[in-house]
Amino acid sequence: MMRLIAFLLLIAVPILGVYTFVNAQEHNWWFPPAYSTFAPDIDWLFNFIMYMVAFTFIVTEVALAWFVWQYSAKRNDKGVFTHGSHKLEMIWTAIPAVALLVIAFTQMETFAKIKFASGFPTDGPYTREKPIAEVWASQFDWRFRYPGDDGVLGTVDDLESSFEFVVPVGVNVVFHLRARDVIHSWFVPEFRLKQDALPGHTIPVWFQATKEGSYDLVCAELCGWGHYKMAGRVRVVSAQEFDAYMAELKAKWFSNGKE
Amino acid sequence: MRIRTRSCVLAGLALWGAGCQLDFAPEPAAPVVHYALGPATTAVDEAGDPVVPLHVQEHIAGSLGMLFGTPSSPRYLLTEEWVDEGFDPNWPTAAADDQGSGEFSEDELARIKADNERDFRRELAAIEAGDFDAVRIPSWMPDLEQSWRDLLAGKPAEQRDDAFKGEAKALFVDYYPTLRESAEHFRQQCVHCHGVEGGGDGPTARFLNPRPRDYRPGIFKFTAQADKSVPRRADLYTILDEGVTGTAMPSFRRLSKAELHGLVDYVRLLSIRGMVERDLVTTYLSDDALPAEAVLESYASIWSKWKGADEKKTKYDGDVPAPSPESIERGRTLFMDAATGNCFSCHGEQGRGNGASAFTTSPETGEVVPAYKDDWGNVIIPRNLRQGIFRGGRRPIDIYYRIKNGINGTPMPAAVSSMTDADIWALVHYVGSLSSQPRTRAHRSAGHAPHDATDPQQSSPGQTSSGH
Amino acid sequence: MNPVSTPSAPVITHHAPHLQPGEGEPGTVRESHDHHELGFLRKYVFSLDHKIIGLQFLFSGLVFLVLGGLMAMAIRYQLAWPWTPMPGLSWMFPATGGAITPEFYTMLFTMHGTIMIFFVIIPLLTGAFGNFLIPLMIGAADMAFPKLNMFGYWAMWPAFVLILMGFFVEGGHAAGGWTSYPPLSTIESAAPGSLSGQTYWLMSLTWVGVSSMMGAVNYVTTIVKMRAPGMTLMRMPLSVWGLFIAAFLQLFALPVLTAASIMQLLDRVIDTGFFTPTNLIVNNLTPDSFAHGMPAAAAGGQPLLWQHLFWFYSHPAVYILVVPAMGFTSDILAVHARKPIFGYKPMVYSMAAIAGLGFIVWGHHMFTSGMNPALGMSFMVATIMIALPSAIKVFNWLGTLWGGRIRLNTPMLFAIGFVSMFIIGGLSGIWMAATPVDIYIHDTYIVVAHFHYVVFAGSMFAIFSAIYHWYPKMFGRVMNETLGKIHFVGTFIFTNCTFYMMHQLGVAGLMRRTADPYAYDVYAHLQPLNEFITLSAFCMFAWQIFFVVNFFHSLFWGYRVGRNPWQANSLEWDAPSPPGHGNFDGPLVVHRGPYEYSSPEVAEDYLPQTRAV
Repeated sequence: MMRLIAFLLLIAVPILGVYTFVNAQEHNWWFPPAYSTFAPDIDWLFNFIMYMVAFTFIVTEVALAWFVWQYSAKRNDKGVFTHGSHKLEMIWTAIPAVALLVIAFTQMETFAKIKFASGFPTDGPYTREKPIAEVWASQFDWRFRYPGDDGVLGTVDDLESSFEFVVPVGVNVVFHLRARDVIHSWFVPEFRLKQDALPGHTIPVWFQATKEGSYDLVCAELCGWGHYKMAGRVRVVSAQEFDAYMAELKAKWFSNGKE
Repeated sequence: MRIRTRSCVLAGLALWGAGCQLDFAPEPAAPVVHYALGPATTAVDEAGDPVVPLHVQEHIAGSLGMLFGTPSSPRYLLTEEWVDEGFDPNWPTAAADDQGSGEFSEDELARIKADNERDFRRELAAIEAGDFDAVRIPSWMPDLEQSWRDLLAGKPAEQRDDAFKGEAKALFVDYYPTLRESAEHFRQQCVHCHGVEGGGDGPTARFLNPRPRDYRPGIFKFTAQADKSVPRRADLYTILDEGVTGTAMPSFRRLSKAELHGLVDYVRLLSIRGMVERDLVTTYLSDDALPAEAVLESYASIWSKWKGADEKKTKYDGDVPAPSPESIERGRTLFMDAATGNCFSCHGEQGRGNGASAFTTSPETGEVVPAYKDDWGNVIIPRNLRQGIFRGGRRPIDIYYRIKNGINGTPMPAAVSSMTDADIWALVHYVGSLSSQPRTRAHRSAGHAPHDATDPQQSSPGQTSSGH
Repeated sequence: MNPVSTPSAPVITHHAPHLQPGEGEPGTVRESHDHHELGFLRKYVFSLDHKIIGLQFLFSGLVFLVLGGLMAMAIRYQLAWPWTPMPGLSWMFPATGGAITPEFYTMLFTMHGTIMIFFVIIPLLTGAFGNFLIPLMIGAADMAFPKLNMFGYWAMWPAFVLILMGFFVEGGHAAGGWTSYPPLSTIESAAPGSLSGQTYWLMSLTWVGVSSMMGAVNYVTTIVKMRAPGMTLMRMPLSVWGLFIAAFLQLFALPVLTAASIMQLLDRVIDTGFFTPTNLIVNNLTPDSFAHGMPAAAAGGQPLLWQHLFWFYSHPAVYILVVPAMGFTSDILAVHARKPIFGYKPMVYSMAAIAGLGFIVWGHHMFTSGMNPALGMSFMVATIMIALPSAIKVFNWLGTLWGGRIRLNTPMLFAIGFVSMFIIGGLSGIWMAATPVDIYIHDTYIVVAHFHYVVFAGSMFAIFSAIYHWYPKMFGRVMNETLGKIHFVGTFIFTNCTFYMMHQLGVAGLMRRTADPYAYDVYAHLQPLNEFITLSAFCMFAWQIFFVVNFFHSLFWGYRVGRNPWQANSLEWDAPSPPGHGNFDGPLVVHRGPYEYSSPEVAEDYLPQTRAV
């Protein structure tokens, strides 16, 4: 009886495990849509690892279930007396080692592109030295400071917006991430982009959004009791709309308070 | 192997007992909160006797309940005049002579609807697709949920045609929260800081600096209002929409416009309730009696203050002047001039919030301690103008309002009458320059402000940590 | 009475019929020549006996397991139905209508993590089983330093007291996450839990560190110096190897944590500012402001420094949490599969490799932290390669089961469960290690799923397995098999229902440590999934009642068993059940390794290490 139950439980793990992943998209328990240039790369790498892992997962779990079923039968003889096999050990050391190295090396290019200084855009309107805006995280809100007409941050004509970060679509956007009090983290699920904001540091971050729309900006590093409500939004708009937005922001900034 | 029945029975019983103890019901229990009386009402004298006798306290509590309802069903009592006029503050979206208070322009109502379409896009898509079960209504919208259920109950599944879908969509697009829904939303999102009565005394409040706003005195710091007037809806809305930077109040723009306006409605109810309560206590203490007419009179007069708030808005019709070296220098002169600006006496000569008059030497300990308290009794120190944190907003016009009107509830006074608009703008420019003027490298290395690393002007990526 | 180890009749039976009531002699205390009656206090409280100390660790660990489990239930409730009155806790929050406050939630998950790691898993694995098993398995009469051992346990008591006191201070207990990243944790105004709760947390952890250090010194010395004649290193059971390696990990990594937590303590108490950058403005206060005379705090520190120091210990700590569990599993699989462990030496080497690599992978917790990305690249390669020894272990466990004569009793079921769950936990770790993927899944529920698969479904299953397996040796009675099997089946099902679905939450981008995930539009649709997980977690917690009842019931009414109820080879089964003072009847000589099951040399299917053939 226990033999059957144990077998069923163990064989259910790979079956239901794979089924859950296959079924996840249907329930929308899967990646949010990928709307940055490197998001498809990250998804591809995730899936690449997932398929390799799934193969190992299925093989080992099925083997485990099968061995438990096969060798727990009532028998009145002794088990196989073996202390191992050098050849097998070599095989199952070498093959995973190669597979793991393949995994490791396929990751590098994408990571370098996203995070390395050398991966940052140099040709577009925004660069590491000349960002589109400064993003300030503090307990518990996001503020975005665009350079004003002079194009220099930190001067008196800077424009500031809260909650909503508006960026143009299809353009490499570089911003400087800063924190005023504790560690926060910039996370936009649709862009697959996460970067901690460290107090005392200015961290350049880049991305290129590929689709217009509004996306939630999430704080992904515990920043205190209000961590859960530290929401923001990234609104991706066309180049014209971006110019209009900047004009609107400027008008609002220098408004005389008449409504 | 034999089954140990005794053990199994024991374990089964224990599991059953545990199952009964735990609340497995997917429908969680309903929360219960009550309005309590404010500290002015329940104050006691030195002997420990209540200043306001208990039966009067009960009377006040009863009156407030009659006027404002309870946290689970808040609503304004309609006075006879209001009924005659067709005015009903419980429903701000309808016109003022049509059972509403008419507080929104057509444009604003259109914007609210457009935002509802964004906020309810999943629900609207589900209705469009005919997947009515997929419509999920947030837990803070019990009235909407009721209307939705009624709508579904009125039409069997097979009769739900396009007309029905239109009706269903309209329910969401036209959504505006009732006070009851806003009160529940307030309980979920706001109450742990602001407290059930809006007293700024929720469980989290005592860990916050500055303390959350106590709505009950009707004093709000960051408004465009002159003469320490109660705020306009727009002022409260701005706070919810933008947050108050430098405090624990975040921007709540993640909520829809309708939800934010609903929260403004409820904050106003709490504030009016608190003001009426304080007014009743004052009335009782001066007259030694609290007749029923006095209650309604107080209610009407406080309401009229809020109704008339729009007239108290500071008007400035000219353009916002751009800063120039001259205006900044002029602002500096005014800042340091004891007769006009006199800013330096509190904010310090360098604007670091360390002016002499804002601090005093404690007679007991001999330590330097802040000298001022705000109207809520909290210790208050002047703003460090070099941090670039302006809670009421960093826009020039916001700073203009602060200087022109002072900050309600704090020692920050309104500008003296001899100051012209040009003077105030010069001060605005000077104050703005304190946190953003680019200082030379030589100045910085001379050791003047070695600890200003988070001053916003140092935004060059010199200290980039992901450099490689 | 001086019973000797007598192998029972050579009958090969596979389904544990040898656990008959009254069979074997009751566990008797050896009348040793220096025997003198100790008082209750000396015998059970301030005991120098490694077995009693082990049991003390076991019981206090189980008590904290209940506490940490209850916190997990509260966390799960909040995630399924945020801001609704919480059953059992609503009386604490009248002001919000019974809903918990967000700072209480941050405290809950901080303390859940802290308690489960530092007060449950580490003490249970190294404290309870390390103490109980090491001398018995290597044939020693006791630990090398019995008094140090006693001190090791009693150093836990200041930790217990401090960690519990922290709940009752102003602002509540530490709420900076179990990782306690500064400045959130060092600056008092940053969070209610950082007012003083964090100080209690740090002091408590320092005491835990002291205790673990005592233990580690003792284990290493005992294993190196006190093995019975013939017990070479390569004849040691893998449990001992696991504990040996874990002790080395503690010896080398723990001083770093102790130093780091003392630095953080100094930051908090005398404002040294090791981890505080300049000119922060936290909750309207500037710790290093010169505005009003002397600054309140020195600054110029580095928040990243804490992360490096903390993970330099806490990543090896993850292996402290799992390497002994691997050892126990290896032993239990071999015993109940009646087969030698497959590839003993590769098993030892892979454990050592895990420990060695474990020291150079801490940076994978910091891929998005602002650390130099090139450093992230090197940590990635090391981290991915650490999957290799884990894979070798899994293959060897499968090899051990292959061709065995498996007895599916409760310890075996939990050990098999460990292997099955460890595969999931280990494989999902590869995602974490891959830097670009980690940019997305860092701090999401995939991470939560991953470490719960390793630590709960892995280590905790191994602990259950070890309790069922060594219970006869501890108390001279065996736990009830039927209840044990019921316990296993429910725990296995609900564990997977709870933690497997968290992978889906993580892929959907849900990040951890949020009191109300549905505040974000992008997560609003995940509530039904969270409700399912919560209900599964409640069921899993309730199901442990079978274990509790079984444990205490068997303590008094379980079948008495003889010395070797499982017909196992290793030395502890040579001692009486429970072993008396001095453990063994007399001097032992070890003739072979511990895994000679189904050996053709003898008629029966096991061959104890002490028996000369």
